[in-house]
Order: sequence, then structure tokens, then C-alpha cells
Amino acid sequence: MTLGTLKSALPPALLLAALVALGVAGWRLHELRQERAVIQALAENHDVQPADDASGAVLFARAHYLLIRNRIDEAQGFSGRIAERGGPELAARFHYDVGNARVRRALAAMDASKIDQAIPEVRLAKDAYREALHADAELWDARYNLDVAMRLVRDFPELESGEEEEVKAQPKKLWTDLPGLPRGLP
Amino acid sequence: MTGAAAAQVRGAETFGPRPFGVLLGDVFTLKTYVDVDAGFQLDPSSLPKVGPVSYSLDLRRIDVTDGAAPNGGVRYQITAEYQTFYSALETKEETVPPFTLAFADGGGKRAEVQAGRWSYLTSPLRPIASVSGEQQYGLRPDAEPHAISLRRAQILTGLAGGATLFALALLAWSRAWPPFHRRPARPFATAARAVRKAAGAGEAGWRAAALALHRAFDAAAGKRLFGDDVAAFLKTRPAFARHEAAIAAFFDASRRAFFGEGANAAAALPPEQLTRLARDLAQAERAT
Repeated sequence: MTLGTLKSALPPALLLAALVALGVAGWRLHELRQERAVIQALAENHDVQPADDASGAVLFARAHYLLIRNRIDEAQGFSGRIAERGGPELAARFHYDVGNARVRRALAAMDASKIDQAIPEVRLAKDAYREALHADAELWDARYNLDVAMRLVRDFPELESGEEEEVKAQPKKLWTDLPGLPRGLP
Repeated sequence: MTGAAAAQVRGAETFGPRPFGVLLGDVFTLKTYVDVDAGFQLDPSSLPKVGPVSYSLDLRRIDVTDGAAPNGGVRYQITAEYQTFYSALETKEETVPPFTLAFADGGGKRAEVQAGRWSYLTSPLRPIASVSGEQQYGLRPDAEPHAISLRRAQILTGLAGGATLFALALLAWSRAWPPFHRRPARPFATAARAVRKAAGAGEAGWRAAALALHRAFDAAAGKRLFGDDVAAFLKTRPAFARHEAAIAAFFDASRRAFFGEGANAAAALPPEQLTRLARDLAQAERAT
């Protein structure tokens, strides 16, 4: 290929490349606009289903919509896809919201004096908060709420002596310090 | 540890970050160095597994690298990343349990060493009594979904649009399309347009088209170009040399049409051939 043919072929090639780039960028912008509209609609209490290939942010918005309506089991279905498409930070926020929803459920059960329903919810909330901190240790709200949940229902591992198998083998004994403060402490 | 093992495994030391002020959720990294005699190798299956170590402590990651030790042996560096979930009620000492590392040489001799123990002080996040004015079981609020930012995509689309306009302008300039159709360096592009319009329109059209092409040759050569000068002209503009035969045919036909005895010029060089020549020359001109 001579310099001459290059000179004459370059402008159309450049135009083609620019048109392709424009098409890709325009399509991406269009997609983002649609995703933003879905998030907006969910925030305005419209029951919108995200598309199958929706991004992590949209799935998280949908999960949040379900969680604040106490539909935890439905929201749990998004767990894997949020982590996969949204990265650890979004996964941490999702698990944190799951934990909050579970604690809210537990507190409602306690208000209704159904302690035996509240305890497993708090256990699951703790797992969710730990999951959140696993994904993003900088999510300080998860640390705080995990601390709250830990004191809500404190499980007592057998006095740890480094024998982890013992701890795992024995069923966890639970006690709740509700209502009021933990006894025997200042 | 037996006496023999002590001779084969020297010094297993563990270093950690500051051992106080550790809060629930904190991640810390412990580095353990073990020196072993030459010939001994770490048994990877003796490393602790990633996952919960105890009720409130998780092992997140463990990496092993080896290098040369001062005494000719091997120095293993074991980097372990832990995360604590201990909800302290008061400041309290906690311990990372040690793990047992096994080393083996080719001859079936084994040596074991305990390493990785580390103690630290954990502190509570909250007081035991509720903070004044705060609900005892008040949670931090939910993490709200963020609106997606379009800024990046908009900038990219704008840039691509600008690049498209620029490429379009470059193409128009290269082919002498409007608004660059009067470009002096593209006489054949202008002529090709005139030829395409006029060539088919009978005898007068053919003459107009031929004249337009002549003007283009004149402009390209910088002087009046006659049939005899074509060879010299093609030497200075080698891009057109490919079309030498067609150019010669054109000059021949033109001479007969304008200076001949009224012969039918269009018969010597049909309008389609004239149009094709003009187009080819315009294309060749872009490559110069």
C-alpha cells in the first residue's frame, strides 16, 4: 500500500470509525437513560421489574424497593447478580439493606412479644451484615448495625480456646438481653 | 517441636499492625516469616483455610512467597488477612489463634512449627448505655440506591459526534465536496462533477465536458497543456501515470473534435469513457 492510497483512503476510514464510535456511545447513553428511568420509577413507588440484563445499580434499586416493603425473600434472589454486575461495593450495600430489613422484622416481632420469631431474624441479620463487611469493610453503617444486632441477641460461643471445631460442633446458645441492658455489666 | 525440628526450622516470627484500637469489622494483615534449612519445603496443605477461624474472626486471604534466607535456606513469608467481627462491650484483649506449618524434605523427614499468633486490644463502637436522646436499638439508615450519572456517557457521545463531524469535514475537503469544491488543489474533482453533468448532453455537452477537463489539466499543470506535453506532465505527477493511455485517448479525441473536420467527437471517445476518466483522475488526484 503506497502513501498515496493511504492518503486517499484515510478520510473515509476515519469517518466510518467515528460513526461506529458515535453509534456505540449513543446506544450506551440511551441504555443508561432507560436504567435511570427505572431507578427513578422505583424510587417513586412504582412496581417496575428490571430487565433480565439490567445493570447492578438497577437490580440494587429493585432489591431496595422490595426490602423496604419487607419482601426479603424476593430481594434475596438478586444477591448473586448484584455482586456479579455491581461489584463488591454494591453487594455490600445490598447485604446491609437485607440486614436492616431483617432487624426491622425482628423488632416488629419483639413488639408483638414473639421473641422466638425475632431471634432467628436477628441471626440472619448478623450474617447479612457480616456479608456486607466482607464485601466492603469501609461500610461503617454496617459495622454499627452489626453491633446493634449483636447486642440485640448475643450468641454465646463456648469460651474460645482456639479449638474451632468445638465451637462449630456445639449448637449456639442464645440469650437475649431484651428488654433493658445486659445484666451484670456497669 | 522436637530438637531436630528446631534445627531445621529457625525462627517463626509474626508481625502485625498496631495491636490496639481494633474495631468490629476491621481488616488487618499479619506477616509471618519462617526460615527453614535447604531441602525443606512448606507443605501447602498445612496452611489454614480461608473462612471463619473462630466465632468472631474470619481469615479472608492467605498468600505464601518464598525467598532466600541468610543461612542458605529458604525464608517463607506468609501473609494472612483477617477480619474481626468481635462486638466488644469494653476494651478487651483478643487473640488470633496460631496455625501449625508443616515442612518436609524429599527423604520423608518432617518438621512442624507453630506460628501466626497475635494479640490485640479491641474497642467497642458504642457505649453500653444508650447515647442520650438516642433510641437504644436505633439503626443506621438503609443504603439508598443512587441515580446513575449520565455525565460520562454524554461526554463520550459528544466527543464521538465531534469526531464524526471532523471526519466528515476531512472527507469533504479530501474529495473537494462543498464547501471545499473550489479547492485549487482539486481541479479534477471539480471537473469530474462538470463532466458527469454535461458529457451525456449531445455534441455541445461533450464539448463543454471536454473543455472542463482541459481546464482541470491546465490547472494541474500550471500552464496550458497540449497533447504533446502530456508525457512531461505525467513525469511530474506520477499519480496520474496509471491512466496514461486514457489521457492520451482523450487528448487525441479532443484534438479531432475541436480542430478536426467536424468529425463526431463523441464517437472517438464515448461520454461514458469521458466520465470514467474524469472520475479516475479525481480519485488519483486525492492520492497526491
